[in-house]
Amino acid sequence: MARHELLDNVVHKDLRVDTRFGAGLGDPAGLVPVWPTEFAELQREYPIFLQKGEGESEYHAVALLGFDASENLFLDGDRWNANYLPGAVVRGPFSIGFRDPVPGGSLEPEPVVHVDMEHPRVARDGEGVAVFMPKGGHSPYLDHVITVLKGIHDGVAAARAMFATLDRLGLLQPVDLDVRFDEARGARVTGLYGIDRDRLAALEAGQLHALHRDGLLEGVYLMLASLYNMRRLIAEKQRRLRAQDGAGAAA
Amino acid sequence: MAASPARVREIRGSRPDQLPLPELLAGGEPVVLRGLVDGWSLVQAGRDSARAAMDHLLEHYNGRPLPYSWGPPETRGRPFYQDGFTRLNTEARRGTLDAVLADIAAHLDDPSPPTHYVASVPVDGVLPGLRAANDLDFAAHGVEAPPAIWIGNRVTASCHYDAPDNIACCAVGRRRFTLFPPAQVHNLYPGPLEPTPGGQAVSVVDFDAPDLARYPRFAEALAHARVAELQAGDALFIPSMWWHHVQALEPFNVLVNYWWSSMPAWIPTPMHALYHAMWAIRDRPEREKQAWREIFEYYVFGPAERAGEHLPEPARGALGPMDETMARRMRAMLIARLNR
Repeated sequence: MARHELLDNVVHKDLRVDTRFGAGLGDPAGLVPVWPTEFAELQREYPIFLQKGEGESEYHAVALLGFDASENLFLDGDRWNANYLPGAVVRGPFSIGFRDPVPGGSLEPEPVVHVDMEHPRVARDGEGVAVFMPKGGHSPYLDHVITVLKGIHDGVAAARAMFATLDRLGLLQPVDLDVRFDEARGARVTGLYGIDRDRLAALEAGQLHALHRDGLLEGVYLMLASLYNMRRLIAEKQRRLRAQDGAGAAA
Repeated sequence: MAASPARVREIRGSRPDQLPLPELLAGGEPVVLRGLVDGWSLVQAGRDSARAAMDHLLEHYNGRPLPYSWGPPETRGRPFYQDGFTRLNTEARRGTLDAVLADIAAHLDDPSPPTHYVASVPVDGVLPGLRAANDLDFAAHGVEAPPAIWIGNRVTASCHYDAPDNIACCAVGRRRFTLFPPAQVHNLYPGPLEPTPGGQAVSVVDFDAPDLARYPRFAEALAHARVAELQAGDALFIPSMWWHHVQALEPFNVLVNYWWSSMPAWIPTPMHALYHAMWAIRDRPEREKQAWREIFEYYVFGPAERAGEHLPEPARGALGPMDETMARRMRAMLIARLNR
């Protein structure tokens, strides 16, 4: 049960966060939410897809971490084998909340930092990274988290605009992954969407130019390029299956 | 309020495209600019009726929800505090201007209406195009002063000061301003620094029924008060830091105001310095405090050049004139030293 609180350097003065990886720390598996603001970093290591929840009208982006909901092929014991960590992982127990605008201030609700005090990464044992400095200042860790949250905040707006445009241009198509790991074993992942290469190639000059001008074309190609990471993910899965087989045979 | 307070000096014949800014700033006192915005289309619509003024606003409205304060009839048009001064007596709401105006319109004849107060919303953000026929020409003076709009029923903005200079234009309805020079802070009993009903600390004295047993020095403040009553089309220059208590007097009132500062953008609000001084200096022993008073007098409140002029220019650092580069250094230095 999540318990979100407005982060406060008095209330949470001793708050520490476990930034390690491994069992029991609530690391994501299967799919992790991602945002266009991090596509450039992600596409070197993670396959990026879109998803649409039951009855939802808007798409959101996800990176594939494994071939079933409990699998994370980037995670190896307490190591996360990638150079870039998705923002949804880095932010740990922190999220963006909104506060009503103060009188005379801006027109829009003001983004603020919330912390989920029931998140498994909230350290109970005095271990972990301090969120605040001893006298109440921001720790470098908190500054980093805030940067990541700002990226996500910008990414939410960017995603809405980008995916609505891609949908309108008919560039999104359902993708069902049907993967073979060896003669006997494979996996299916359904309910994903990806870029339709043929439709992209068939865009008229004006549509293509509009995509480019609005800064969306790069994201389209980053999504396409990200699919080459499937090979890497499959190889890791095969390696794990072989290791498992070996362990089974040895036992 | 026994003796009737002094009236604010008035000038006539000013025009929106010929603002007497240098004279106003040199005078340093409040001035009523009678009829300054008589020609505004919103003023003219308001002279027909409150509803005509509302319709005129809605013609320019872009539909963006805006924040406003709402209070039940018991608020009596005074956004203030609940007993205990830790909570406001109004709710912060968000809604469309259509809905707010409809609520106000529904209570135009109600002697005890709920309080509706849209305060200090940027005109360009919600009413694009309104300025075409309702504006003051600050640009002619090279001053950037985007207008803000204040819409409500009989609402009183409790006595407070603002850091920028201000020209407030009564566009619809009537408003009474009671003004006090900055030194009257000692007699006005300012309330909490937060929360505040409008972003600035307000006097906790109820001007309609001052409790002089509890706030005796308020009688002294009143001796320094100046009043001005603005009709639609009139404007008021409120110098930076002057306290002002503002009562909207009709069932529907609209004010458009322009804040501007004579300081460049890299000079921050002195409120940071005030908070810091309360934290770092206020609770020290009297002898230390008096020593710090001398230090501040020397470095801050005396002539700006004094602390640096006996030093070679390259050695002056923060003692020399504050420019954009020095402002960046000061910010970085303070952030680094404070973040502990």
